[in-house]
Amino acid sequence: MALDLWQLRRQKRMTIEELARTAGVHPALIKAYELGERSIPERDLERLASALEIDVEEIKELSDPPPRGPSRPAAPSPLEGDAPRPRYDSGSRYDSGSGSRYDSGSGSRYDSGSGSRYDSGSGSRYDSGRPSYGRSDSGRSGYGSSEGRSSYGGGEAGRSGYGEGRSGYGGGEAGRSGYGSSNYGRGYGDRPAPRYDSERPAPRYDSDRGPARPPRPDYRPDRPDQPDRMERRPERPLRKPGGLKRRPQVAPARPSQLEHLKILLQQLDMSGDDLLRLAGKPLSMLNRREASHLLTTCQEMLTERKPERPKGKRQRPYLPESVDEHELVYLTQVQLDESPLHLTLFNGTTLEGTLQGFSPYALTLATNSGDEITVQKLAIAFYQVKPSPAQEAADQDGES
Amino acid sequence: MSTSDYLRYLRAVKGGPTPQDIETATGVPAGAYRQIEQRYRAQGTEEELASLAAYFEVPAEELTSRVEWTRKALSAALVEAAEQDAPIQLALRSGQMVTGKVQWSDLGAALLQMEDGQEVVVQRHMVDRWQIVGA
Repeated sequence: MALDLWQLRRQKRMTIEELARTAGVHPALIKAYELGERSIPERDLERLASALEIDVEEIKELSDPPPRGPSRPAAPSPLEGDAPRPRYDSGSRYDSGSGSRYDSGSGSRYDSGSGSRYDSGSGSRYDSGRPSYGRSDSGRSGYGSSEGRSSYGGGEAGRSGYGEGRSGYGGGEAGRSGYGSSNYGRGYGDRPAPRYDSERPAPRYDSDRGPARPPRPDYRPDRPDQPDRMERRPERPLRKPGGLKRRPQVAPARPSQLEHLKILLQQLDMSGDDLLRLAGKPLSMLNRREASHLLTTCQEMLTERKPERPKGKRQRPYLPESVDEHELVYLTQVQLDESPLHLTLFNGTTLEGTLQGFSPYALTLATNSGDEITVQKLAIAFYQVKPSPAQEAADQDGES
Repeated sequence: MSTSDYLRYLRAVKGGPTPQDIETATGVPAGAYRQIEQRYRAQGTEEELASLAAYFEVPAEELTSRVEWTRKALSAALVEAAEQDAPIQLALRSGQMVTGKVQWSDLGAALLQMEDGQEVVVQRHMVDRWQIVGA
């Protein structure tokens, strides 16, 4: 025979937190399961059964709320008190129209027929008329008093009751279970109502907090494409016991840091005394963080000492390999001038022609015979630009 | 000419075998040949250079004697000559000697202005030895 979750948990002498930790289910969810506010989905059933070391069939999908402890006061009957209750003011709509209603066809209800209602078809209000949580003017219990079509309780007069037999949220005039006439809430009206009779104290939400919020349906009419919020919430990994970790101590400085520091100190012409003044301790006593900090300081000091480099082109005096543009500029000019180019190859052979094109690895010349020849730079020893015969003649004329 | 440039030249003369082919044939560790040919500093052990020399059918001294004459060293010499405004004498593998002041130098070549005013662009890979005149 299946038992309520809270019963099984108590049998195992586990707290909700322990069960949550073992099963990997959020404690709030377990609480909701135990209070009967939510039915346990199959996935959680398996987890809980595993954590409790029982079969899945032994857990009731929808638990009855556990009996309240003796320390908690029993819920006073709404019929008894005339004490003022918090008023559900108008403003946001809880319901609208005649579609969704929290109602029950027969049995206990939270409202009286002609009494209160949460909303009316045309208005946005929880209440209207002369609301009272306790006894209404007409002598019946309700949250308010008005003649509304959409009511939390029953639509018809005289059928409300707080603790009669079975209670449900669904129903309606036709006595069907569900949120009014819709099918979304089917089942709320079918399940056994929490008992408010003398056998068992009523759940605290009745007396302490006013009417309990109806359980959130898995299917939300207002967001049909979204699953239930609890279902959407990703499960957080449970924190392992053991408390906070101790912060590890900073490791001593790396040898590479010390080497780098020595070089920088040498470049800064700093002595051991200067270092002591700067770092407050000798190099060998530095930890990794202090060494890093000191390195930064030294590099900043070194940067301040060095004259600022001219902005613009990056200068690399000993790395001309990084610059590959001098020859490019030179050959471009030669090509534009159409000056004759004389190539001397590695074996002493010479070639002459005008430059037609070039790449980082080859030159293409148009020889005097009209042929084009491409020569790999790897085969070239050197090349020279020599003035053309016409230019030479012009130069000679100028000299004479 | 550095060992790197000379190996590149030898590889071209041999028909362009890939570095992997050469490493397989010589037993040089994978990636080592590429390092020797492409890096600007001295690379390669004597054994590796000897096996490479045997592969290319040249005397081992042809490679080992160039180890210290690296591209980096030539760069430093060209920069120093330019800074001192001193002529530099370049001995080319083709047997010629070119002497002049460095006008510019870059990855592949250096422009020297000779005493007669003529300019010559020397391909760096062809330079065997060098000396700054007056140094």
